[in-house]
Amino acid sequence: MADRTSSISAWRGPGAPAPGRQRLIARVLALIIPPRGQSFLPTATGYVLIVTTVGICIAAYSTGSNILFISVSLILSGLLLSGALSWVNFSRVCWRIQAEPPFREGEKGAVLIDLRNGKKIIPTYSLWFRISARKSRQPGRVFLEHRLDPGSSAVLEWIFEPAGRGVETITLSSGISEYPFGFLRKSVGRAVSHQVVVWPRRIGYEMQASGQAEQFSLLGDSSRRIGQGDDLINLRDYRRGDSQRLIHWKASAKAQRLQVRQFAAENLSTYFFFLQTSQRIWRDTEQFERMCRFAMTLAEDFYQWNRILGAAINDLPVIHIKRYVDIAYFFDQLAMIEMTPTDQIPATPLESNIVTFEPYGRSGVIACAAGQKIATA
Amino acid sequence: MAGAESLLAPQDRRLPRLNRIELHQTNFFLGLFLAFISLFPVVYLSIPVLGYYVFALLVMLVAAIVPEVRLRMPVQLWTAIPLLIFLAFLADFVLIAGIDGAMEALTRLIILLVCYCAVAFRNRRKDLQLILLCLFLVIIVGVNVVSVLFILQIGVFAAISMFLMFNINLLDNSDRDETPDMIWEGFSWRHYLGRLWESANIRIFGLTAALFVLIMLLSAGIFLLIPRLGLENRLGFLGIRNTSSISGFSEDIGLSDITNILHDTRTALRIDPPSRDAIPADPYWRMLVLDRYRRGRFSVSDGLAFTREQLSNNRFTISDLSWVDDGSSAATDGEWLFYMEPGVSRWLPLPGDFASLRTKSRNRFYSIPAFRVMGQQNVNSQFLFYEVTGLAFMDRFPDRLITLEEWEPTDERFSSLIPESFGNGNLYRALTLDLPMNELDLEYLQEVVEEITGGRTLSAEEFVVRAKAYLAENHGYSLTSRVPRDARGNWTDWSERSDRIVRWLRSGSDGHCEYFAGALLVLSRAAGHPARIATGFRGGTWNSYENYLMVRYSDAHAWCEIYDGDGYWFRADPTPHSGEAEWDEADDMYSRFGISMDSSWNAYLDSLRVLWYRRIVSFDDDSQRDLLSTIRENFAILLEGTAEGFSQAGAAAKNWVRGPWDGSRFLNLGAGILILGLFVFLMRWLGWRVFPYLTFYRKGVRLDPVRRQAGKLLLRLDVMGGERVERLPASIEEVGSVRLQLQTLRYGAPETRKSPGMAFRRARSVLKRMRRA
Repeated sequence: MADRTSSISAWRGPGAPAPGRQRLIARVLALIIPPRGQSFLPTATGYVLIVTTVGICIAAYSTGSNILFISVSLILSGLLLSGALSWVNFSRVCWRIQAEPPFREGEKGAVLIDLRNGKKIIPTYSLWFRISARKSRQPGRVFLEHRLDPGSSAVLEWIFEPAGRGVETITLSSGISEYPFGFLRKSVGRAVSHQVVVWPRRIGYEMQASGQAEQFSLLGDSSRRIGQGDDLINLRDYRRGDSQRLIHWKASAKAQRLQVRQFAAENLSTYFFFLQTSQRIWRDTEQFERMCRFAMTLAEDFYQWNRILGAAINDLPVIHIKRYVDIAYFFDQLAMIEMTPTDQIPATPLESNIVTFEPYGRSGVIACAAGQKIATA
Repeated sequence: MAGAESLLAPQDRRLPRLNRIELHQTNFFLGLFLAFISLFPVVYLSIPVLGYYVFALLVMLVAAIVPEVRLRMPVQLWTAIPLLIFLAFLADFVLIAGIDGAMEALTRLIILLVCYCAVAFRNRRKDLQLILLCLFLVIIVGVNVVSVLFILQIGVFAAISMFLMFNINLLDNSDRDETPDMIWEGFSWRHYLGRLWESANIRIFGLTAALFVLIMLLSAGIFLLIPRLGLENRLGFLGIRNTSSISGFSEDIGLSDITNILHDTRTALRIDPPSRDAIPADPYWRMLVLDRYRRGRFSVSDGLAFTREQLSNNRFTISDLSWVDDGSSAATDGEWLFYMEPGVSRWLPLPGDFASLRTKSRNRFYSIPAFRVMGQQNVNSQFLFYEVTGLAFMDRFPDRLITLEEWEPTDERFSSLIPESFGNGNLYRALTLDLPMNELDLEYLQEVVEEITGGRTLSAEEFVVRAKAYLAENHGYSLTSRVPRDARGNWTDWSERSDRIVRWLRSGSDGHCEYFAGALLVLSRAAGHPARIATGFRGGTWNSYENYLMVRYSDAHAWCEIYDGDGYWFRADPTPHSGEAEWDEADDMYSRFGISMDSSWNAYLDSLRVLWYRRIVSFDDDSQRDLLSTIRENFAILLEGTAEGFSQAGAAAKNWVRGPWDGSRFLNLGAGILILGLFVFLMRWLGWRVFPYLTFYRKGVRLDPVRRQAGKLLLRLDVMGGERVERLPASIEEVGSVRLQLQTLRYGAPETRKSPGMAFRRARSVLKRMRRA
């Protein structure tokens, strides 16, 4: 199973942890030659100030008036201070993206930007970032609206709505700030990209009529899942693999052997989802997308009803679904599948109670179990 | 749809801050304060702006007290106001000010615009407009007034504008936008001030104050070191022209014009002499000569306009001027610096000839060689600084021959005065005998002259001595003089009216310097001695704080210059008590009508002004070179001293090491190390208690060693993650587990911690293996 823990990007920014201590000479050089991704440009206000300063400077040199020289000195020192403060503002500040799954197509999701000020005395102000979701073509900006005190951190949140399933690339630009006076716009740090998986969206589907549904319910084998249902139906002997939490100690003492609580879920029939993405079956892209959405919706519902045992897509390894991470992993795969040119059959034989998906009409999709239609979308 | 929101970490919530609405309110008040600061000194400009000034201040005051009242004004009105202001400017420019007064009209326009921008609902663009307008106003006033208060004003202006821009920047750092209704509906000063007090942060305030000091120091450094290319004097900068002088020192003055300022104790002129001894006991700072007298007014002869020389430079020598140089004047050594306040006069106070004169800026100057005076084209609207070398204090001025070819009298009456025998002689002497009076007055004057001379023919000097005695005997000195009306009363023609000075002579009443000088003038002319009036200042007050001479408006004076018949005009001051200055033992100075000493609080304040003139306003490339040279010299001395100190310390250490190492030496050394160690230990131990502010920003996460350590290890794990983890597939799960443990320690509640030491050891072990991978 793939590692699903990497929902956090690497740190970026001047305060980002570096593999080794940066040499002093490199740090001094960085002040003179801007590192990659760093820029320092005047804003519109800055250009106005520069023009004003040049005007006053010309007047000062033309008249020799020290009043004008004082004004020029003050403006120049303001510009210098602005540059210095801007540098200090970014100093020891770092950020990263935290994209917490799940992201679903068509549903709003949150991307968090973790921001830290590693300075000891001076707070950081007025940072902002450009952020965009490449595939969904959604640009946005996130702002640090409050002061970030020294040694503290803040989380900025960006809400976006993925346009389609698959891998979405979230790109966070370099940190930008016009601190302190809005004369200069400083961009620091390279852009950081982070990929998130967007699951297909949920769609409406229709279960079969009640008669067929009853039949459908009998089709499945008895679940071997440890009882997690709400209704306690019986006590039974302990079997290897049962959770110790389910042991009924009082009953065990009476029976002189370990007894566990048996819940209704244990007797529910369970299914195995198998998806084939061959172009032989799915000729229409839209129908294929619909199948992905339908499979996801059905699998999610079955998981909630404790009736999904596992899932497989083409010849990919079978996923045994016991916990949420398993079903999430299946959804990740579902998010990324594409139509394949040929049929791909799993290497290991699948268990019984297989739910498969087939085209239905021009755009519909049906889910079948043991050759019988169980749901339509 | 995309949106953004800032979520603060829990520890940040402890520090209260102003919310966006309050920041908007602060923005408004800062802008208003900036406008107040900029408008405040406008009233010192010598242009009629008082009405605009008062109006703007009142409007801003109302807006400051009840800012929410602006919500009741219709939006259309806010849109129309700039247009109305522009129309008012056009009307002002076309109907009142004209081309010559364009600067005045522009200043009035800026006052209105500043007022509008300050009270309007502002966005970023309007905020910047306000700052620029205020800056423009501050500079215009600063350049024209050159007041020492400018440095205070520009300092406060800089601080407020930086706060304002900082605030604007904070407000701009968001995608939210608040409407005026949201900002001002239900505004309460009490609540606002309470919130300001709540969110006041002494550390931020301290940092801001430190930054302000830094920016001031930086500005001072730039000001001192900015290259002075000597390109000055090519362009006038938005100068506001004065049309009249405050002192009354103009080419046409009445009998009370100078007296009007005799109660004014403001300083008009500051003179920085090369030394205190260089100033004579009773100096006369001569500005202008008025050689024409008519109906109680003294003026410059029209014809002299044709003899005046025009000069356009900022440096003159006596050879540039066609003044007669007979070599009789005794020049003083060293440089004399004159600082003349705005609006005093267009004529430069000079006690006599000079070798060279330099002003700071190129200007158009005039010289009247017959009078040996120099003046500017206009009354100085700005402070005027000029530097004079080879200055001579003269009481006799060589006469200059003015021929008929040079002279083009506009007053035809003068032609009749010129005797037939005069030929091509010195016309000017003849003109300075003119007494345009009626016969009765002339007869009276002749009677007085007879009385003074006793019927004898006296030399000019003798006549002046007797005339002064006569005047002192019959008239006392008073600033309030009453001249009786013409007794005949039925005159219809000006020429028939009795002359004012003659009436004063007849009355025997008291008078001030203009009456005495006028009386001596008419008596001398009646006696056949050419005479003219000189105006300027007399004496001054020695400022003991900065060692310079303060000449006040109250030192304004008028005296006579009489032709001695031998090619010179000598000074004759008939005003009583204006003889020799008296030596004041207490002040070690000449007193009244000479130079008195002032060490009062006012003198101290005035000395600050001179410091401002000397060090800042007069700072130029020469001063810059001197300063750099001084810095270099001092640095060399410091370097030399430091090197010597190190050398001596090294030698002492060497001697000490070579000395005998006995028990007491070891004991002393040990004790020294122990004391030092104790001191370091105590400082470290007391540090957190004695200086609690040091710990201010170390609350929460940073003070918790477990959190700090976990954070550090997490960072190192992040750094070494990625490729190295993939190279160790067996440890992926372990890395995940370690990260989870560390995250629990870093972010979790302290009570849930279980053996952090073990988790740290495990993390270090993993990191070690990853480094080796």
